[in-house]
Amino acid sequence: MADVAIIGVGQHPFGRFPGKSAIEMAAEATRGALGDAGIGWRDVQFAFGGSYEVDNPDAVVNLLGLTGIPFTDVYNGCATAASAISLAAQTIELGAYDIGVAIGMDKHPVGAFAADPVQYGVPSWYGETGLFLTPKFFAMKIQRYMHDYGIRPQTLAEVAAKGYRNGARNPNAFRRSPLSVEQILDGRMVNDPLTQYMFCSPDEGAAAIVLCRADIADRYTSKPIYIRASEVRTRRYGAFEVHSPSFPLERIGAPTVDASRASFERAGIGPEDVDVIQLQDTDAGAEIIHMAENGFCADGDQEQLIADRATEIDGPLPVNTDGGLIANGEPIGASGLRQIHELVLQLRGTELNRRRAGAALRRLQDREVMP
Amino acid sequence: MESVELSRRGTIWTWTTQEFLPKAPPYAGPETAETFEPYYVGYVELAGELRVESRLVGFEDAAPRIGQQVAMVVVPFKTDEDGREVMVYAFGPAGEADHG
Repeated sequence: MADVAIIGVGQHPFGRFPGKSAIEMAAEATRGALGDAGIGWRDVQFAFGGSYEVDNPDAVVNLLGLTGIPFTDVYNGCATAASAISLAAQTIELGAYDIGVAIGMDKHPVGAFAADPVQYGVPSWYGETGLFLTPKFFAMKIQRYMHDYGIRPQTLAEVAAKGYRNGARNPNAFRRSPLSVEQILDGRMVNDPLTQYMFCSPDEGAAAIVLCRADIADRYTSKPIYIRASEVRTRRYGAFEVHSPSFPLERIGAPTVDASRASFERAGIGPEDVDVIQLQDTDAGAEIIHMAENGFCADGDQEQLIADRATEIDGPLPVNTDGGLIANGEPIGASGLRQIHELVLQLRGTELNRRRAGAALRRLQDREVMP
Repeated sequence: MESVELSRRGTIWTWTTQEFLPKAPPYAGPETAETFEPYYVGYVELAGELRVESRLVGFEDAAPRIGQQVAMVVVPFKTDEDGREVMVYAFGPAGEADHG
């Protein structure tokens, strides 16, 4: 099978852009990625496009050019963009094509997501009675985790403060004003223990990457970034995950644990080999939990690591160096590609006010929107 | 598929507050943005059985605690368009006299 390299990345800023469509943002992100790779749209042989709000992401060809290429749309909850990248990489691995793009885009209305619980395999009464809500699940998961492992609310606020600090340095970020730990703790309580400043917001934006066969990557760039593994998993019976009216007493690991183990195994490296990390921080608690679920520390070690500033840009375990979801918000279709965009910039060492690094881990995450 | 009767008593495994009005639909509660009051939600562990998600009621004086004993109650949720009272299950602090 062919190895796969990323040779171009592009992003439309995340935030609120009244009057601008998701497709327009996607076209800009794609042109940025093509320019970064030094190729034109005519050189692209296939594409995958991801979105939650846009049911035809492939329509971006109306703005990029009608070249007739196969263009496949994907939606996979908060793993939409990660799935677009995985599928694009697999297409090259299988030898079907040499060069393609993965594009993600979204434009969400303000406020928490709402949907029909029946479409998610849970009964309608679950929604009618006010239980079908994602933010309260995240709050209940971190509430139990804090109880079990001695994590303090102050530590949640430290994680969010890092997100805003990193966002302030990132010209593409939605939230670019630093907030103090006190401001974050004093924010309006949304779901105890999570205040408004500890959650990411749905917003708008787009991102794109160009991938090619690794053995031709040096035609396009002197710094190809290789994809060593990309794994997606769903929950097994016993995992405590979102939208569960009940679950068994015998608890097993989250799908994140399964996906990250499989990914490390395939890549032939361990968590200790990773220099820069992107984790799904839908809320500050999720970043803390995902540090352990992905093997970067033991459960409970986060309290000391964060107090020691280990996860800062210049720390030994830099997490979400562009501000993560907390500062960038979550346009679902684009969010995972934003993470890859940041990792590629970090690994190339081209981000002057950010940190250089030598190896990356693809985003490993469970899914928020779909079970 | 068969029905299994679950215990009416358990302990709080985790909890949170719901401090914004859920979007309708799917939410079918009677509140408006003006009348909405935050409510408690949690998972209740039923010994030897499973954990169930539920509203937690009767915690006006003190927030729920993980490990706290609770018992199931049936409480009014809303009045439907035909004027009938719609009831829902919830869990509240287990009193001494309650041996449900």
